[in-house]
Amino acid sequence: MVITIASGKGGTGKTTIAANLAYVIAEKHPQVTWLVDCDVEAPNAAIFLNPELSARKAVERQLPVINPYECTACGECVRACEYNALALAGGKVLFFKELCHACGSCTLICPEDAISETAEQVGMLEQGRSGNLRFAQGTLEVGFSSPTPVIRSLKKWVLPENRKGVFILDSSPGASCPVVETLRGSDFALFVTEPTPFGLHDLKVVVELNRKEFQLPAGIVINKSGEEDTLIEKHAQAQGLPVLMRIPLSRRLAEAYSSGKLLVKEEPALKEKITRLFKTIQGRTKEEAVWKRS
Amino acid sequence: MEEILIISGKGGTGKTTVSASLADIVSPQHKLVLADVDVDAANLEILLAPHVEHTYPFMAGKVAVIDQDACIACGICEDVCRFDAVQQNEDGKFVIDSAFCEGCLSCVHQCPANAIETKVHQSGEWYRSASNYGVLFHANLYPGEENSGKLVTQVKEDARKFGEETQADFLLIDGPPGIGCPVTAALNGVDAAVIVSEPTLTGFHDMRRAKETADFFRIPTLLVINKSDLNPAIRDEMLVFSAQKGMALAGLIPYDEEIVHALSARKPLTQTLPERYHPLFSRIWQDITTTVCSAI
Repeated sequence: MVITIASGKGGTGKTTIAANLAYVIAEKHPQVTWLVDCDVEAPNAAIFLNPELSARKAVERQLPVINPYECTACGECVRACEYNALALAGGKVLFFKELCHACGSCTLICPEDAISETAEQVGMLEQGRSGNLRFAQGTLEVGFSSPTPVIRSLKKWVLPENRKGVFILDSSPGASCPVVETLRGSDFALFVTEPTPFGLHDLKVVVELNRKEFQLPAGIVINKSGEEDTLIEKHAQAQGLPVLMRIPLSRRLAEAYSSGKLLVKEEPALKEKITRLFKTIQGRTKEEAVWKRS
Repeated sequence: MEEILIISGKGGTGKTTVSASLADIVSPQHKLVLADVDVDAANLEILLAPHVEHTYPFMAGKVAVIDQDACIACGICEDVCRFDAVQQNEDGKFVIDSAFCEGCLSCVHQCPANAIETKVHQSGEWYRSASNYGVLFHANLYPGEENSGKLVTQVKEDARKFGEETQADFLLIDGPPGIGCPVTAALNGVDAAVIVSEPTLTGFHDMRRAKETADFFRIPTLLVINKSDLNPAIRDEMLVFSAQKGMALAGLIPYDEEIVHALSARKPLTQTLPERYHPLFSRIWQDITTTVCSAI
């Protein structure tokens, strides 16, 4: 079973929910529960879980290299490049790496076979364990603009074909390509929001994304919950989405969060809430998850 | 015209709250143009209540579409696609998932049956709006769409052009979280980036990545620490870090649960809690302008 934690708005508590949920599930289902941090631009789950990392893998992209002795400056590659990463000047093809999407179109189209490819590292994948919980994360290299290939490689590396186990995917904020990449193939979407006009606005966007692209069973967690909750509740009701859990606005919880503590270790009541949350999610996903050790 | 961008690394640290309050402080004294380039979660409009005057369609890149009548199901398109956008469905037909197509058109070039067409589609819109604080340029990227960096550039270029034409003093840009393509597009050409962070391990971690990203593009940075008294030990580490990295401190905003409630008034904090926050944001703005002017 794959559960993606998303939010639209940043800072609503995705990582808090993901890390605590994974920790609680791993107590019941040791060694088959994973926390996969897919927020590769700002991966933070490790701060709460302190995993021992045991494996690493680089994510690379393939960039074109033009052999000047074989290039006839015909311009086929320049015309084929949709990103203006190639230009023809003074009988030579110039390459602008920053604009390249590493699609390989130029390599394939060159009639002289004058383009080969070289690998460039765009990110790093890591996995390991934190007690009974298994852990994986991807990190985008600073200065590279494309998180999607890192997320895609991370999911391919960690998720087995048969989906045996429980996988909690912590997504990045927003509702564009990185979130799409994370949600793709999930069994359940858990939206974490806060009762502010910002929280509501961005929740609407990510709920709409799910409705349009995936139609996953979904539910809402209201973090920093309080008097203004009706703001979120109204929208949840209109969309037929259940509010599955609330975490109150509390300085004490914020302080525990600030120093990287798992809230379930501080608050037994919260641990019970999260156990119930997982039971509800299990009930709402179509397929029975398989717990057996693979 | 000086261009000031607000970023954070980690989301939800208060970028938009800071942007709106600065807009409220600056607009009575200077000619201001505003832009919200957090195009997949645009929130500045919630606090500034703009009136949309022009709406423009955002025609993003192309997507490839397979003509099933002409397709010979050879699977070459699936082989050449590096974005996993081509999939074979249960009927054995090859289809392109537009959510994953980056519009490189490699499949179009390689298809032996010429069965793949190119379509341009609208993936959002952007707006020029009037507000009490100045003209606001903002956008709405449709959920799940690609090319947010391109839309960021579009909104920013428009705001910049308008600011130059109308001889504005400042362009204030509310940026996106993270460090990926929308952020690199937002950083391009600005005079300074203000990083709004919080004294949490996660906030500090992401602030360092935001700082590295700004350094990569050689943009001067300033730091605002929100919820600054939440964890004094981490706050002090952040202050040491910023001093070591030559990042000026622009201000400290206290942890204040009233802020969460005050946001529901949908106005800048400097208006909803003026005694507490008008003087604070005035000082923050002073520190920002001092740094920006000395850097130039």
